[in-house]
Amino acid sequence: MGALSRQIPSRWRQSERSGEKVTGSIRMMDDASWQQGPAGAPVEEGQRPAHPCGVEAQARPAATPTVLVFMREMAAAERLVGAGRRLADVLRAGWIVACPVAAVENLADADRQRLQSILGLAEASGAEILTLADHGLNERIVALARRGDIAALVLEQAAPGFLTRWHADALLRALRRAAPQVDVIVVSRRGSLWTPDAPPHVASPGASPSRAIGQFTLAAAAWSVAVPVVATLVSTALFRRAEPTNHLIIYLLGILFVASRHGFWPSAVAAVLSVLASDFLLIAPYHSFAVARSEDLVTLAVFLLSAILASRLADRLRYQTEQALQREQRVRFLYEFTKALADVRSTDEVVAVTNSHLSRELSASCHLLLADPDGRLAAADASAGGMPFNAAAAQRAFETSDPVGWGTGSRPQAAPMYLPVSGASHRFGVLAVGSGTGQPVLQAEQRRLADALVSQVAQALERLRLAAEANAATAMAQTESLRNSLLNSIAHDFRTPLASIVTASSTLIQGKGRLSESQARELAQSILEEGQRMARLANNTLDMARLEAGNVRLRREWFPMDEIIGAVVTRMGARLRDRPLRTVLPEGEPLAQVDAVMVVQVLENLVENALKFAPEGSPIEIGAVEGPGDASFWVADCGPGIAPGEERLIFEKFHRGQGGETTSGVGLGLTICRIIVAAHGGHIHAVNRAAGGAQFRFTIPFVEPRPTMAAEENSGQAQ
Amino acid sequence: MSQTKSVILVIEDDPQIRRVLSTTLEAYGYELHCAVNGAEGKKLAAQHQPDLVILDLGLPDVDGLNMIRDLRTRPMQEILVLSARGAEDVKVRALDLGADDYLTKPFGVYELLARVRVALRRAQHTFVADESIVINSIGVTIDVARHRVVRDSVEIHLTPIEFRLIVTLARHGGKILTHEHLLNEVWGPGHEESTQYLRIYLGGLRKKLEPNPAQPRALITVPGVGYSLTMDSVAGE
Repeated sequence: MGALSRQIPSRWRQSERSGEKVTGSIRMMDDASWQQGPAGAPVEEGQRPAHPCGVEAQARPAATPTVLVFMREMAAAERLVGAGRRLADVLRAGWIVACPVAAVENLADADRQRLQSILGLAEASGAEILTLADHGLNERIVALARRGDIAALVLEQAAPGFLTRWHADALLRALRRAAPQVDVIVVSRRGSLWTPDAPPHVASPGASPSRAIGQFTLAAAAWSVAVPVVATLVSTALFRRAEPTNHLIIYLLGILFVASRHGFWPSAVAAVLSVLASDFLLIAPYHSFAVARSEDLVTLAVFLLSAILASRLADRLRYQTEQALQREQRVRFLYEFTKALADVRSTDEVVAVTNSHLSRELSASCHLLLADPDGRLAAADASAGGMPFNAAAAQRAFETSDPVGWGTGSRPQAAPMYLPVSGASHRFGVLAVGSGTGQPVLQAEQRRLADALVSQVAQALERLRLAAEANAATAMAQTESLRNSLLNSIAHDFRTPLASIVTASSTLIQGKGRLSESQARELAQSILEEGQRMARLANNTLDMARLEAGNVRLRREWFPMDEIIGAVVTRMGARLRDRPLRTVLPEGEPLAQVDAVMVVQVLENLVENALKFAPEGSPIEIGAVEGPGDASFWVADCGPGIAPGEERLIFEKFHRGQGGETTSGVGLGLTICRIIVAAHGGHIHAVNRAAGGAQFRFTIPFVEPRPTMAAEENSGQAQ
Repeated sequence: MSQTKSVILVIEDDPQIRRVLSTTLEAYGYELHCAVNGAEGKKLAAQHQPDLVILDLGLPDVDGLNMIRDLRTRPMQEILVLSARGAEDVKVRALDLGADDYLTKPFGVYELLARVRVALRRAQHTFVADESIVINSIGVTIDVARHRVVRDSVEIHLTPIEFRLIVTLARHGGKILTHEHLLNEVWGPGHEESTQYLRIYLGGLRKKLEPNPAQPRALITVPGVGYSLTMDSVAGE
């Protein structure tokens, strides 16, 4: 108890002393104790316990006690809810607020909002809201009270008037009979309906069915007067001086029309005016309010009564129709929204779809704020809609997964409202709902809709997150398997030359004296060649890794083509010694805009490839030509050429051309060529030459206008 | 080969490469000292005054580039750097810091010995202004004092810049000169960015001096690093 009362804000605690309960009896509560803090008043940040009984209440087993608050009318709504909540706190009990439908329907707009914010607050602090049908209210309450877990019933003092008092007493009698174990606490109804300092509430246009229609607007007043007048004219024209009942039917028609269009009160006025008009004009004695025949008096009275009853029914029907229409609209919207979310492919799209759909449907500016991986909300687009951005409130909503802001349990006066968007295992961000005016924008039904929408958004985000994770896992697996096959190939290709080296060198050591000079030289030569082969293999593997990692930066400059070809020839030097080499270059100053180191490597790999596949001693040709806007290089050999259908495959990783079984080396050389050329924005292809043999040719486009590189004689020198 | 043995210091942490280097170089009659790390290398360099230092850039204890800077305090000492393949940036920086040449691992003995010979000759030679330079690889003779270039007894006309370029390359006989170095020395300070000029003039020189510019024998391009001039004609192994 001590700990609990420390948790309860002071204004709630103040009333504890007088809020004692008396088992099995009815106790009137001292009204003074409730003056301090109406339930609807804002609770200061930090004072309010995070969840005095909210989360706990839901987690409680069914057997734990429950406080039932019966809100028959709205007169003492705040005090009722306040008492219920306090009692539930003290008893560590759950609580239910039962509220008849009629009570909600018959309220003016401002009052309805007020009530809904009270109910919202109650809900936020753990209350279950129960809406009761209008018929047999007492019986429902008694039935509820007979449920084992109801410990106390909080209700307000009956309104003055015989009927209401009789109803209230009947309830108490029934309770004492049926559920004597339930404590009944009656809250005084003294004081005005709403606290005078309550902030004015302004309904946002089109946010909910307008109950203002049940009030007197200018149009409603006009109709309520016009309809009796027209009915009078019509009925006099039709029936002359017939029986009053005939006339009254015409009036009734008009009254029902007003009721269905403008609600109860205008139609009630129309009914009274109709009675007066018919009395004055159509019932003898004419032009007087006096009634000659007593049966006419009865007819008028019955008419008035039935007109008012019919008005009420028509009004109720109208309201319910509107509600049904709206519910249908919401369901349709929810469906459309879900469908739109099902199609999204990225979180950006989720944000866009959410912002546009929700802003339209809720008639408020909505912004989905997603948290970054560090759990920080991006404030950048929060103020995009001219909405004030309350970073602390948004962050709090995100971190606690509780709504913060307007009409919520936490910081109810702080605009805008932040609804947390969380999935089953992940918090994604918050939905900011607000208007430029800083007014509350969502009513209770809209709040429920918003909650449903937010959970859809969370689901969509969850789906994307899982998909992304699955993709990452797949990519990882693919990378793994690629790496494994690469490792396999490399290990295999290293093993072959290693075997020759080990065998040859051990023969050299062991066979000293038995080997002839030429035999020893042969073995040493084989060691050298195999070693060089391994070095090339290692280089290719490293190049591959470097290129695949994607962190290769090209340093493109303008190079004379002969310099590039010359560099290749120089570097290949010794390996080309026993091959007739032909270099083909155009006249003039052909240029290429390339990373020379890389392109020399491509050409080296191509020459290496030619050396590998073309027979020993056969000629090799290296050439280059400058085209309009690009530069082409080629390497041609007189080997067996490329098998049909392999023209593309040979550039794939690990592919070996025909004769691959006898020729060593992972098929990485050509893949490296392809990657480097592609990095330059060029393309490489292989064809068979008419004269026999293969030609590999690659073309690299210029990315800048070609400079004129005519050697300026003596220009640019120092002296 | 000179009458006194040339002294070579090898600073290399890998025992296999050290073994191969010392076996080979001793077999060819050089006086050899080996250091396994930078600290020992500095000590031995001071102690033995080597003519040539063969330095591995990937030493465990010191940054190879800093090591070059330290060794450079003795002007007559040649530095041959051993480096991994592909690291063009590092090569350029090493050369700019004062390394004279580099060898990319793995290298053949023939290549190693050729570089060592060139380096040692450079170490013993100083260039005299009126000397005539002979570039055997392409049969070209340069008369520095009279600004004349003769190929196969035919005089070839070179522009002043081309002349300065070939003389600069020849003076460093066989050494790789970075673009920056060449631009600085031929064009003067402030032209370090104009590698385009360098390429044009070098292309011009090739056309005038090389028998087949696309298969150069003397004016060698080292992609991403610079240029070198091969003085000797290539001999078979």
